[in-house]
Amino acid sequence: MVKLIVSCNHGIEDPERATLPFIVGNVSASADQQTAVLLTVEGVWLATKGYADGVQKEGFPALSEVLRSFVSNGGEVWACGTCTKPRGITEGDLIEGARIVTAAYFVEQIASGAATIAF
Amino acid sequence: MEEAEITVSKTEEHAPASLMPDAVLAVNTKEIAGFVCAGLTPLIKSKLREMESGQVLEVRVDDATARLDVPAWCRLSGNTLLAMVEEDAENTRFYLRKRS
Repeated sequence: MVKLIVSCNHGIEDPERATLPFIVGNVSASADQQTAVLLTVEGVWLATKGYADGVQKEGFPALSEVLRSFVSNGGEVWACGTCTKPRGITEGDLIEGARIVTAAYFVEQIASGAATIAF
Repeated sequence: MEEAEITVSKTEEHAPASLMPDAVLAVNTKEIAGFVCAGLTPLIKSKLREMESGQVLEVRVDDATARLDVPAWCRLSGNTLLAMVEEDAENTRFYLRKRS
């Protein structure tokens, strides 16, 4: 069970909102707190290979670097299955550390005590 | 959450003499906006990975917001913050002992 779920529903159309969840998630994961970033809506593209490359909000670290650091610190990337399916995203498209999850799966985590945060 | 007891000194002269770091991490945040919030503690984590349990890491930071960030991260991660030396309004040195 994770302790913190950070919600992200933006892709490269809003680099700041796409990056910030991974910044906060990375701080949490680097403190050895079990952490997941939950991607929904356009945010699910962030879980796919190559999508985050070159994305950087001015004054922020590059999204791909934060994402890589988050995963290397043990953070989990969850892509909502309801949102990946209509976009044609499958497990084979995903970056290392990412997986497709279902609503019941993350609702169970929240009901079991995981805290959530969104930006 | 329980606050750890640490030594907070205002000058280098008042830093505990027993603190001999095994490694030093100097962080210049001036060129990266929001760096402390975004990247300082993951960077500390990365540095600690290279060290053995029980060893002491000295972290030098030029942004006073780290005085809030680093103690909170230490409490979360279980690494011990031995001391915080406030050299001036911005510059701070932290002494962390890697957890076992």
